[in-house]
Order: sequence, then structure tokens, then C-alpha cells
Amino acid sequence: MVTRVDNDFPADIIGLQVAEHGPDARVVTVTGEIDTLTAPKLATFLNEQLSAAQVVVVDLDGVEFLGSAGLSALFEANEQANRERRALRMVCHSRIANRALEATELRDQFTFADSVPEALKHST
Amino acid sequence: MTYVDSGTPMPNHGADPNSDESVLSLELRTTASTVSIPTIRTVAADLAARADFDLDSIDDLRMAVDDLCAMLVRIAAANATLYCTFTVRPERIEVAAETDVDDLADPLPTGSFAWRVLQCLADEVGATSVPAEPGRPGRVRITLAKDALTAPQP
Repeated sequence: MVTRVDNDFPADIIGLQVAEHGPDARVVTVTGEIDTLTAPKLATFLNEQLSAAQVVVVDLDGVEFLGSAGLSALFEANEQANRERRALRMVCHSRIANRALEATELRDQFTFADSVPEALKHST
Repeated sequence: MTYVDSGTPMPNHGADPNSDESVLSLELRTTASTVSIPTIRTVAADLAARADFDLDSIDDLRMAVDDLCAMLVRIAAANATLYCTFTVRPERIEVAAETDVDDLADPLPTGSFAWRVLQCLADEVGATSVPAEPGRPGRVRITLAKDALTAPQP
């Protein structure tokens, strides 16, 4: 099941979709620009998914901008996952998002998988 | 939004300190609002691309300018203006942005997550403030410089 989430911005600014994979895993697909305008939406959304599922995969392949507010939202979600013993796994082949994670030396904070199926493989 | 391009000086503009033809100066004046920031960071990336910055440096500058503007917008006084000046030199872009603030109790966001990100992205960063006085708001200014080539990671 894929749910398109209504948000206040057109899809070309930020898009958030979630797909359920069994009772305990969800895949969040993020597209567009994650900045000060859109990061609060992402933060709330990830918080909801982590509250509902044991494994949350965040697919960042369609991200076209990742600013410090977006990095902060991802970092907070990761902290929540660690705190609540949930698994948050990232998939990211977006050059811009990868550059943001590398330049800010935040990449090591997160768990990455090569693909969504790979990220779901270890979910129960 | 105001666009000033010193490459085509206005008549009677006075002496331009950046009259060197190898230096381009561009100033944006916007409402200090989050909705202005995507435009400002896009201008930054465009200037860097035209100045032959490498891809990583273009991305870093785009993120750094976004971050810098977001920090200022967060502390700006109501209805304040955000002034953002780009100086494009050979191999280097300098950005200076400032805005009015009401409260200068703790005006410089230099301990924040955003500031730490800015330090990673830019080659130089700086922040200064002028305290408010009765009848006059305070002013916060953040500057950064970015080189055209990203230094290889150690």
C-alpha cells in the first residue's frame, strides 16, 4: 500500500510517500528539497512512522537539496530510532544529499543500505 | 528583490572599491523570510557554477548560503530586511549577509547545529553583531568564504 501524503507544498518542493511492507516495516520515499521550509514536515512524518513501525527505510534518491534543517530532521529521527530501539535505514544515491552528508561529516551517524530491498532484508 | 550588478556601474555611483574587472559584486535585498531562501541559495549556486567551481564546491556553497540565511531569518526582527552580498573573486566567493534583530541577549547562533554545519561547508566563517540601542534595532552579520576547489579529504 502506498499512501501519498498531502503537504502544504507542491511535490516539486518536497514529496513524502510511505509504503507498508508487512506489519512492521515502512518505506518512506522523500523527493525534492529538504530545507527550513520543508524539514518540519519531514521531521513530523518520520516521527509518526517510527512510532508505528519497527523498521523504517528512508529512500533519499529523489532529494534535490538537503540543507542543515533537513540534516537535523534526519539526525533527530535517527536519535529517536536509537532511543526507542527501532531501525532507521537510509538509501541514498542522490549526489547532492550524499555530498551534504559527507561535507558535514554526519554520514557515519546513519545506517545505509544499497537499495530498498536490501534495507528491508533484515526486517522481521 | 533588488539586483545590483557592479559589472555595469550606475552613473554617478562614486568610486567602486571593487572596480577590478575580475571581481563581480552582487547584492540581494529580500524580506527576512524563509520563502526568500531558495532564491538566494540558487543565486549562490549559479554564481559558483559560472565561476567554474567544482561540483562539490557548488553544492557546498548552496548549502552554506541556505544555512547562513536560515540562521539570520530565525533571529530577524519582525518585518526585517535580509541583505546578502556576494563577491565573486577568481577562485573564491565571499558572502556577507545581515539583518536587524530585536533582542541581542544571545544573538550569535555560533553554538548551534546550523553553525557547525556552516563551518564544515565553508572555508571561512565569521559572525559579528551590533547591540540594539533605544530607538535602534541590533544588527547581526554572518560572513563566509568558499574556494573554487574542494580540498581533498585527508
